[in-house]
Amino acid sequence: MSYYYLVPPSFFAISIVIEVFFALIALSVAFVSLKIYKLSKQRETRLFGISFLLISVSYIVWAIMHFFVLFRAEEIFARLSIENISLLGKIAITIHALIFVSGLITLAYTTLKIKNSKVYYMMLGLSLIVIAASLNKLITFRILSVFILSFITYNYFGEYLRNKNKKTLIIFISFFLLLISNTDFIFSLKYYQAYIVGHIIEFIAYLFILASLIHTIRR
Amino acid sequence: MNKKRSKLEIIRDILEVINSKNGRIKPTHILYKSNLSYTMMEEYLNELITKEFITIDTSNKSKTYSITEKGADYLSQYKLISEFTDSFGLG
Repeated sequence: MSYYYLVPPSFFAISIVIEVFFALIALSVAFVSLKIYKLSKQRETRLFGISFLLISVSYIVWAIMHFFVLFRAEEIFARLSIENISLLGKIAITIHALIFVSGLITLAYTTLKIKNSKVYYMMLGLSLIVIAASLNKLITFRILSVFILSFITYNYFGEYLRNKNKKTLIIFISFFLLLISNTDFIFSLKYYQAYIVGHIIEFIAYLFILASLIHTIRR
Repeated sequence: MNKKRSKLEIIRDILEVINSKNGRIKPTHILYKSNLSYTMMEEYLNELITKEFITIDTSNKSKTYSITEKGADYLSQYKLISEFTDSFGLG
């Protein structure tokens, strides 16, 4: 199994645009959530805002790394040895993975309505240690993301069953799609098609989140 | 049977009661209007004081509660708060 994703060259630039799009939507959710926190002082909205802020930052890290690979590759890489290029890639992947998983853990802690902060630090610590100690950080990160997302998705499915309305259905579908896309990304370590499919599914998931956010603000 | 009120709804109801009395009210009126037990009402009032949504005045014989600017902002933006927390399952 590869330590990197297999990305088709024709899709590389598109994937950067898509990742920036994910970052902007996650940032918008974080902004509105923290604004709601300022108004309501509700703990859950602050944590929810922080989780989406972390997810947004992780996408920005990812997009910056891809941007440099695409546009500055020759200039930078001419001065670096193959070992250093590999090391830079690993560092960027590790930073992206650590921030993204921190965001997911914060999101799971919030949506599962756990009130004990010790549980949060334990969940966060365990996840970060597992990624940091792993030999293949990318696959560990993706499996961990799928594991955490499955809990969040199941929780939103429960929310939908309790409320049976359109807004909870939209959020359930968006997290279900995020779960599918993250599962798909595991296979992109071996098949480049999976990288494209994963991005398309993730794109649809974020469109649903954006639709829900716009619906909330406009009402 | 009425659906159980959420925490956000109870906070809104208490703030609305205070706001309806020109922003100042005695605890007995809140108890009567907010449809809560005395213990629950005390808990909510303490929480609202901590959040700086209301202030307590004990200078007279009886306590009176007043709504603050933050409390008024909560009331005016309640629909947005409620929609967001409902949509993202944070209620």
